[in-house]
Amino acid sequence: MRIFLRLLVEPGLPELDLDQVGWSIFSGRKSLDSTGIIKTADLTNEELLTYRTKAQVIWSDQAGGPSFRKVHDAYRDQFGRVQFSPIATRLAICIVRNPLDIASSLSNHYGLPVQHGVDQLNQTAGGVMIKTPNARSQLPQYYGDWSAHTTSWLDQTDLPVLLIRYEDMKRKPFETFAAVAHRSGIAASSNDILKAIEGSSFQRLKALEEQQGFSEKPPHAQSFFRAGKVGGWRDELNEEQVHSIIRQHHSTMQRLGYLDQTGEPL
Amino acid sequence: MTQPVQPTSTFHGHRSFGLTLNLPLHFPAMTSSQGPFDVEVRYGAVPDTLTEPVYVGPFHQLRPECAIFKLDDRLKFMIERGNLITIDRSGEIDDGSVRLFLTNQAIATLLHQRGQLAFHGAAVHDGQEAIILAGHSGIGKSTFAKNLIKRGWHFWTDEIAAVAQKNGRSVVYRGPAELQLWENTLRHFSLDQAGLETVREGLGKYLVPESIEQDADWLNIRAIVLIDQHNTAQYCSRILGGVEKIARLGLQTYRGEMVGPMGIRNRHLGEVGAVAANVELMEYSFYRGWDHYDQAVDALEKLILPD
Repeated sequence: MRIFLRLLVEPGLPELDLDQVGWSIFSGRKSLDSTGIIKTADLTNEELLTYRTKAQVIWSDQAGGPSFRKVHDAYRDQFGRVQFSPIATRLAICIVRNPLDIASSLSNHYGLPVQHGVDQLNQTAGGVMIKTPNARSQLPQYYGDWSAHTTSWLDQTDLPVLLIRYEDMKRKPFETFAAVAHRSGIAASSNDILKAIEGSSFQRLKALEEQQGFSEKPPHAQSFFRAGKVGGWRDELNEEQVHSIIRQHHSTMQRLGYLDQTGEPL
Repeated sequence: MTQPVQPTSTFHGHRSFGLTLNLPLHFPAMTSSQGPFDVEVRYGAVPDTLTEPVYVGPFHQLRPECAIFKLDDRLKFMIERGNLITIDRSGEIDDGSVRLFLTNQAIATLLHQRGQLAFHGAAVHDGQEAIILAGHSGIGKSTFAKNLIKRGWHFWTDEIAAVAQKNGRSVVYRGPAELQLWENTLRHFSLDQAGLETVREGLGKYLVPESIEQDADWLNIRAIVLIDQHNTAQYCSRILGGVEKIARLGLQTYRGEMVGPMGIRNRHLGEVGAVAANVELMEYSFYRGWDHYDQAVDALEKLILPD
């Protein structure tokens, strides 16, 4: 999505370099630190919450055009505090994917067995996930389990939200990405949108990663762009793993069209 | 405005970063000094806002020759003309926080006001010359420094490396004799956190006392290493030159991005150019994570040893 948006905003971009796409993660220390003389590593979690909200307003003021940030955090942190500035946010694009497919993708991301991904989605260890306070290049982030994370964005009323299903990005790309462009306030022709979709296709990005490498790939992962397949979970998860995810996320999965009326995966 | 803590009747003379400071609180990691003083640091009232600021950041406001840093209502700093720092603190804030923000943000800003460079980095030396380890926050500068110290190098400074020109060479001044290390780094070095002070309340980062073992106030710089991490190979290095060298060096100061609002862009560029003219700048990337850390330090050490 980030690359699609970059290509849409800068259609003349000559060569795509995955590490130069920009609009880096909201919690990245480097960009937060560069907004001032403070070093975010010296701040407590309480102070960081204030700092990052203020930084967001500064970025917004300086942007001079559409500006996007990747976000892993839930909308509210574990204490219920809003983590984003409504003043500085035009739209939240909430991208969801079938958690059954996320499980193996997430495990690959960390270079760990599939069960690790299942546990992370379910947060069986205690219901929260916070990166360690000194997570090297990023601030601590609160995710919550998959359902809590997803509904924290969908159910908040402070910001307009555009819900995008990963599966729709694959199955009906033009309609899906055109909605993103429109709601983001980017004036783009159908041809511009088609070109940006083609330029950011999974196959192209995977090939680029093989050629250039990609700094966002964790050290233990084989690759950042793995399979991108819809429904791959049927070959990768065992029965118990499937059941445990459905048990925990039944209501949200049904709401997002990943389960039918009887609770069977679609 | 917060009620400032009553100024102490006792002031403490200390020497660090090439400055003799008259401080209202004791700083055990700094060398004692009787003066004369380059910088007066005092407790007093600091306004919430700066008149006619050129830049308003999340926690600070800047204009030429004056900066305000406001953590919250408990702690504010005003840094003026390169020779005066006013600290407005309430009784609720711990001394560690005051020391930390004084030696990082306030001193770095003050050094810039004085026309000196304040690199964000740690430095070690071999008895002759210093190596500055620079890089963005969280990249592992202090951890590399600790690893090199365990291999026989000597500590010189951490967090702020104050750099100036002397006799046609770039030099770096000694800093407070302590490294700031995160809890997991202590574990990596099997250091017991019991007995160590945290850098400030609420932060899992510790002050590790180091011995400077050198009488000099400054050392010539042999090289500046820009540390970075990646995920494709064990490590790689590259010597930088030309415009790229100046541009990359300029972004390593604390904070290179803020020199415009401070009104020192041209002077800063001149200082950076002077360093670029007589110091080798090396980009050094290593494979993320602890698994390859020792090999990464091995390789770096070979690169920074004298010819």
